[in-house]
Amino acid sequence: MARGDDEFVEFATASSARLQHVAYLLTGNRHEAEDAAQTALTRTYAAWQRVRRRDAYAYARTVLANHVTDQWRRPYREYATEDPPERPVPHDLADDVTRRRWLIGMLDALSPRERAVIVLRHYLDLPEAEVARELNLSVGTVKSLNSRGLAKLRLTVDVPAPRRPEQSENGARR
Amino acid sequence: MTNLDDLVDAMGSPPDFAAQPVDLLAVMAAGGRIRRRRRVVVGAASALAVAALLVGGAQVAEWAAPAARGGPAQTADQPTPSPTPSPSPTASNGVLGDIVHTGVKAKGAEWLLYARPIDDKAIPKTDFGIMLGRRTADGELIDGIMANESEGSAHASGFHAVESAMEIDGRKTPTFGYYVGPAKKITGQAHGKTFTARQATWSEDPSVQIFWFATTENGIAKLTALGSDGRRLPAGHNSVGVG
Repeated sequence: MARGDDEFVEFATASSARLQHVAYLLTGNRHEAEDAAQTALTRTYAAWQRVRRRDAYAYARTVLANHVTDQWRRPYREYATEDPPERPVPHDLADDVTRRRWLIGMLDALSPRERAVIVLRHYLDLPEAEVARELNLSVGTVKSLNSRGLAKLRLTVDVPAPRRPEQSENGARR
Repeated sequence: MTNLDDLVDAMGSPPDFAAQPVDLLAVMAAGGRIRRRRRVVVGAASALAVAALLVGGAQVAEWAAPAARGGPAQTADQPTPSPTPSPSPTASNGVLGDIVHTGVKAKGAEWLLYARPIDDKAIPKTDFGIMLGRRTADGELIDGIMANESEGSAHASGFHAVESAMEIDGRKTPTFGYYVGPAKKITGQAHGKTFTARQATWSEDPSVQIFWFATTENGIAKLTALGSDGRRLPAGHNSVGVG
């Protein structure tokens, strides 16, 4: 195998899990995430001579983001809702896995673009300008989507107050 | 911890997700196909554009058909869709300069190396590429795969866009590419052996050395160019790619 291919294999082995992870957060679907990561790696390999000396992971991530945002231009899927999903009952909240699942489910309350901005901005910790570049949006739009997304998440992600014994007895809510 | 922190923490390890192994062979095969398609399309499109300026009628149709395989043949009666580059004084059938005979054959046809012009906004510093092709029994020139620079100037010192041995339409190809500079000897290594490439000076630019290895053995890497004094010359982009 040629040296360039060796380098690509090393890169792809190290980054495919991260790419799938980001793709899963962006799409919320495991199979779509696998496809998106494979597409990103394929296009990165096609451009490997050009990107191997730069930040190849950033290139792959941009391809991934573009691939996912291409879906936005296809028949519209509306996820947005102002209604928070039903919160897990306090017993489930005690379970870490259930809680995480619920939190990830919160992303479904966002529109695709809000979701992408929230994932890139807060999970990947990218600056707004970088998010704008990767999603081919203006910085102003990124700011607006971020603030709208966060507003929705604040509505839905608020941690319910611990249930007190007297609440369960008389049903009172704080 | 804030609520956003909770979400970020959950995003870090979503419970319903586990990364799956990726089929890297499939990835590289598909990526290689994209690269090959891009290069051949660029080469064929440029060749057609030049030909439309040069001559008309049957002469264009005669060679345009194989070059545009997979698409409609362009004739002089059809307007060119966009401004065309000025043809090189020596351009013939979209080939810049002389055709190099490699002596390497596959299924009875000899592999040929020749330069084709490139005019692509994505790679503004690349104005030519080296095409590996062959002639049919009728003498038609069939493009195979083009090696062209995609990072920086096509005329910078050193190796450029070296294509690994591969198989195109069932025909094994040699490792080939070009070197810019006074290389008297070009070598590569594979499986612990050192191979010396064959060379030909490009008729359009004597600083360009077209080279190829007379073997279709895969895995040639670690390319080195030596000057007349035996000293090693700048490597440039001496990695060997597939596709």
